Amino acid sequence: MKLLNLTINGRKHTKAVSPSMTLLDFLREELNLTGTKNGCDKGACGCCSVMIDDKPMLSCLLPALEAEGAAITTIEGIAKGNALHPVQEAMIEMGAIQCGFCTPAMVINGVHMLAKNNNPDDDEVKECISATVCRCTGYNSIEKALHLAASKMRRAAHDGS
Amino acid sequence: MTDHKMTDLTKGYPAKDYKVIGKPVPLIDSRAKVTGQALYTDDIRLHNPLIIKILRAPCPSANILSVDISAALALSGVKGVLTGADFKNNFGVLSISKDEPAIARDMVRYMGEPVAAVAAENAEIAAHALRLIKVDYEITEGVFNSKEALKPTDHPLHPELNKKNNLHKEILQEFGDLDQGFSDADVVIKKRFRFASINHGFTEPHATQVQIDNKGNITVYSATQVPHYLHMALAEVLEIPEHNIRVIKPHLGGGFGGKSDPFPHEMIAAKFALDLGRNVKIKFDREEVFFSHHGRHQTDLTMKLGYSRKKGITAIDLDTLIDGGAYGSFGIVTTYYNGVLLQGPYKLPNFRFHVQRLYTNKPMCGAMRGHGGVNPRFASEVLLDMACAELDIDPAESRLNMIHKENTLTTNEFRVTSVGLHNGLTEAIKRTKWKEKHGKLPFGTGIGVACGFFISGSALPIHWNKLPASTVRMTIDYDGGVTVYSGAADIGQGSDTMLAQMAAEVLGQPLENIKIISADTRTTPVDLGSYSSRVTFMAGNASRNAAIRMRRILIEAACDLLEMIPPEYDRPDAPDNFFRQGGRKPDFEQGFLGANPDYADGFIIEDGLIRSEKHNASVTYLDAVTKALEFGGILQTSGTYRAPKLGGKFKGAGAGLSPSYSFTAFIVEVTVDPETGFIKVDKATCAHDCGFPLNPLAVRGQIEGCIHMGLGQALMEEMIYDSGATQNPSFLDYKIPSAFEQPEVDIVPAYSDDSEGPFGAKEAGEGILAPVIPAIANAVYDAIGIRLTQLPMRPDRVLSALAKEREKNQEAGT
Amino acid sequence: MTAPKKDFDFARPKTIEQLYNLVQECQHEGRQFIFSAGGTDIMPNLKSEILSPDIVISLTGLRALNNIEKQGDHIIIGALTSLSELCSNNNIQKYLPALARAAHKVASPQIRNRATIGGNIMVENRCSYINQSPINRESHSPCFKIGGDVCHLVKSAKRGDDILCQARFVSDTAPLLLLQNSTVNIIGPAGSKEIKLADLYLNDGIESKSLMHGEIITHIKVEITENSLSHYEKLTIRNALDFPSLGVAALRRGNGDISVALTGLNTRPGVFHAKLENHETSDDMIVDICRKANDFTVTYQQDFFPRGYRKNMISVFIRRAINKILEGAKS
Ligand SMILES: Cc1cc2nc3c(=O)[nH]c(=O)nc-3n(C[C@H](O)[C@H](O)[C@H](O)COP(=O)(O)OP(=O)(O)OC[C@H]3O[C@@H](n4cnc5c(N)ncnc54)[C@H](O)[C@@H]3O)c2cc1C
Ligand code: SF4
Ligand code: FES
Ligand code: FES
Repeated sequence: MKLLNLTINGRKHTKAVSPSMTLLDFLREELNLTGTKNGCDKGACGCCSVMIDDKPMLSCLLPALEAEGAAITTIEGIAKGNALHPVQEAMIEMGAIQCGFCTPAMVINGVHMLAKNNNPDDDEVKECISATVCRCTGYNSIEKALHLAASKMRRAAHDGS
Repeated sequence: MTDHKMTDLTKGYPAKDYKVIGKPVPLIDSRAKVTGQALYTDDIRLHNPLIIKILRAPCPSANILSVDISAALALSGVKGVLTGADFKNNFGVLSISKDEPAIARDMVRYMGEPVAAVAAENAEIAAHALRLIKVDYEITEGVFNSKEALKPTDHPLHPELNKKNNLHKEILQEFGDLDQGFSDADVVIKKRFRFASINHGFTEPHATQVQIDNKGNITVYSATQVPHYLHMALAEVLEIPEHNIRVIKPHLGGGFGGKSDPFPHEMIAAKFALDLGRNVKIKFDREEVFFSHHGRHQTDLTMKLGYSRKKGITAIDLDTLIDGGAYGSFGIVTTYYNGVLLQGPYKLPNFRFHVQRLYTNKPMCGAMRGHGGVNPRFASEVLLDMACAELDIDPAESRLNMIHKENTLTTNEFRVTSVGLHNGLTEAIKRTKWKEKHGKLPFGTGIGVACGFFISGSALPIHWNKLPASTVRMTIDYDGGVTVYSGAADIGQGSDTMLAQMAAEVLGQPLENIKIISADTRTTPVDLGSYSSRVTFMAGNASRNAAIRMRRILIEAACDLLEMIPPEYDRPDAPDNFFRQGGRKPDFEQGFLGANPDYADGFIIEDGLIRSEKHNASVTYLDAVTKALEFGGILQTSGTYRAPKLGGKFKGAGAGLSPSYSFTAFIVEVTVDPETGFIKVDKATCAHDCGFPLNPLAVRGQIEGCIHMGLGQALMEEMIYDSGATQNPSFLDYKIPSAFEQPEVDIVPAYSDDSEGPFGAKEAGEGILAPVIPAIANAVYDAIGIRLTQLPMRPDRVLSALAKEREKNQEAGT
Repeated sequence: MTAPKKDFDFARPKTIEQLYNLVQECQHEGRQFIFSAGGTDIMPNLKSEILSPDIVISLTGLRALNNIEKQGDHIIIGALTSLSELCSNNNIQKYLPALARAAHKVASPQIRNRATIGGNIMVENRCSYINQSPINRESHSPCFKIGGDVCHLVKSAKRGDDILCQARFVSDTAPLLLLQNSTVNIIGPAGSKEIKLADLYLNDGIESKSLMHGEIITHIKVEITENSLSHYEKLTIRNALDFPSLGVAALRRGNGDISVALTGLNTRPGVFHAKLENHETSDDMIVDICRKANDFTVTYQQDFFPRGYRKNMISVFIRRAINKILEGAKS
């Protein structure tokens, strides 16, 4: 066991972990943050995406200890209280959620993309979700949702300035 | 930028002033899912569970000489080890093929089959213990394809069947006069088609957790589409009364048929919990999901189709081998569906099918979206396209002319009620500018059409009994909140939302006032499960019927308060089929359409009031609820659905019978790169007749999802086996299309109003898939002039076919 | 729940000095170690028990190795630079756009945020037999690559053969780096050195890299070729996630000479040249290169695509990559 210090959704954690434990298992099993899903455990489904220092990465491909000192955002940290992120709102509105197993990862990746660029073209949107498997929706509605979220965010940015 | 506007799928329908029905409603659990709060099976935290791991056979065919578990048992932290000897009874989703043991007993029938299981204090110990189990295998010669499996043998996979071969099920049915049919044809084409087995690819791996109380009762949380069947199988395998078992399906990460059987790990988990008196937990690795499979059957079929300019399709003769793998699963149903689902969407006067399902030493195949109908549909739609090409007939026009009329019987006596395909396909032809494109696009680009047909739930239950196919319980609390209790399993398709819509519409409540409790065998009445596209039709009707009963109670209470004489409901206690037509019986012969409750009683519930139109008087909804509660203290109704008596009198007449059928047409546009053989699907236009679309947003989701899956099967998905060994059990090697491969989708309305569906609705989850694939193949032909007869249509196959075609042309030229 | 089957220890030294103290300690105690950068290649291999070290030594603490700099006519890329940083770096986009393109074609956005360029040029060779679930491997006898005595791909292979293992080279970024005459800076217990990238790669699928155990790559030095144009094309069935079934990098120098490097086909990358002076037309050059590439390449069936198809695609993809460049040259 080794000591791990990191910040998750704004909260600091210090915990002893087994060196071979992945960040995904750490989140799910040690911290009970079960919103991050395990779909393949080998880097090929994207369901375990979390933001590490503001970049989406696959938590199944990372020893937890690799996240020492990092700031991590999981799906549980995206909404601000009851206020959903525009990506979350748009996903609901567009019917981009069916079984929902891929949804947390889609949100994480979408939020990241739009934070960098709130006016993405079709290819950028596809790229953003291209490595997260969704077997239910065929991706069309998720793409629409991300475009919708982008326009919401553009409007908000415009109104704000 | 993509256009966010959506086609109004309810366009073309007579104006209906529904409040909730027919409106695009996001699934009611969306918020829980989008915030990560929704709990899937593996997310549930039971107190101090043991972790289970399964030892899987590394060979596809062997006798098990011995299993030595002593070292594993001796390992500190190991609480129990199970082997085949611990389970006496086999199970299987169909009562006629209960051939699967929870753990292999004397024989290994597929690579990856459970041969032992360990329950330990943590995953590491369990994994370690697996390595300490010594299994002595005597490797035997396996059977790895259907053709081999047909040969006589002294060592069949299932000796208990007392057969001298590996034939699991054989069906031969003939309708009409086949010879006459072919002699009526202007062109007869016969071709062989081959289809790889494919996997559901749901994102949530199988998982089960079992909670035990101190009286030996277990609660089984499982990622299952069929809580009811699981409940029955557990009782049988564990030999305990059903009332000691409670099955709950938490949020489910996709099924598509892949979670519609009871599974070995569910038996194993429950047994460990009972034996050890501890909570237990198991979750599959992705590779275990692939080893367990249950996907679409590998298929080798030959089809002969006759086509006449005047009459359309005159005859189909189908001969199919489907590779079932090691066990039965839904296989017998699959066997029938391979034949009978060809009965639509067109008239088919003369028809024969011969389907054989074989046992082989591979992971079993079972139900998968579009169950049994997908592969033969590919063959018939491609052959039809070939016939049209040969006779120089427009293949879309030709299809339009052959579609079943409403309210007809098919040759094998399926009752076809509503049909919205004609208007749907007509619209699709217009929208895609088909006439300007088909046969006229430059080399490398093409457009193709195909249609399909599917059941809206099987009319017969798979375990024969007289109970309703679906029952819903409905209560209203003191606070006016409505709760719907249904056994139906929401597997991501949105059935909970649909049930809520039914109740909200009839009871004049906003959707938020309706709470759903579903898929819990203790608290919810029986529903047979989420398979065969039955939920909207059956559970939907049950919910609607329960709500209609509830509404009557409320109206009577309102009348009491208003001191009015309550309306005379014809037969308040009538069985549910009475409600079907708002009082009138469904009358198929007379072609009665429009299964909507007419609120002829003159009352309206809305905005928290119950109003009498006639007397212009009202009471609040809450007062009426309180009044109604005075009598019994609780306010509760039930609603059921049972299919009407249907079908012919011949053997096998029950297969494919459904109270209603859905119809689909696809027009697909592709680009083919003749140098690399890559097929790119650019656009898919879909007309899906699902009756009245209860929730256009959900219908759209089903259509887009089916396109994705169809595309995968068409172009890249395939289970690869080497002598029975699964070669690609991962999401890296099993190629599920990404967002880049998904085409643009256009959905055109296909109007129909089903006489028996809830508010006129039919299925929208499965039937859409089958025509996607032949539409792509037909578009490829339009693009580069080759016919592909093997799935997936990999680039290398495209190139080989092109090369052959060139050779042929050269020979013809010289 | 599927933690790597064998528990391993984990350490993340912060300096090269700490690193080598740890390495020495491990060597002294006989503990097996492997290095991890982004870990995106080793983690799946750990989970499916292809690797089973006692300790994983992460290089991510060596922050100094995470930079991109232009020095004269070279670009120096720190080995720990992530592929997504590489893609978006101004100097790379300006001087080595095809490298950015190749890096962008690796795996997926989430993986590229983690995966490093050092890890990418060092990525383990792959084979359809070895990159499998343990159950699958158990069903065969162990092959050479995991200490066994057979090869399941080339049944006739035997110990003592020149090439024992045909596991194929799959790095997407190496081909272009090779064409740019890159060198790699290496440090190890014995000190530091600089070698040609081409010399990093060996013929065998098992010992596929010439690094000594314990050595690490610190930087990659890439030549900026004046007036050159380059391109990368990759064959995969999907537009995301997949390893290259075939990858082609092409480079046209200012003097008109064309070079091509291939990945995904053989145990090592292949590099081929055509000089302008020896050919009449650019098409002749393409034909010449395709011929050489076809001769060199022994592709075994170990991929989604059949061997014959991949072989046929070599010329198609070379032609496409070069044509793309020539189009660029015209405009
Ligand atoms: C689903 C999936 C898809 C993938 N697709 C592709 C693909 O399309 N193309 C592709 O090229 N790769 C692909 N990969 C493999 C891998 O992600 C990339 O090659 C990545 O660039 C590896 O970098 P890394 O830093 O993560 O390597 P690591 O896993 O950290 O290391 C890989 C190897 O390099 C060694 N190493 C790393 N850094 C150094 C160093 N500085 N000095 C010495 N040795 C070092 C390690 O010891 C190890 O042997 C894929 C992986 C997955 C899981
Ligand atoms: S090519 Fe190498 S990894 Fe593949 S089976 Fe042969 S020895 Fe093993
Ligand atoms: S669980 Fe991490 S990518 Fe699938
Ligand atoms: S919604 Fe089910 S996997 Fe995406």
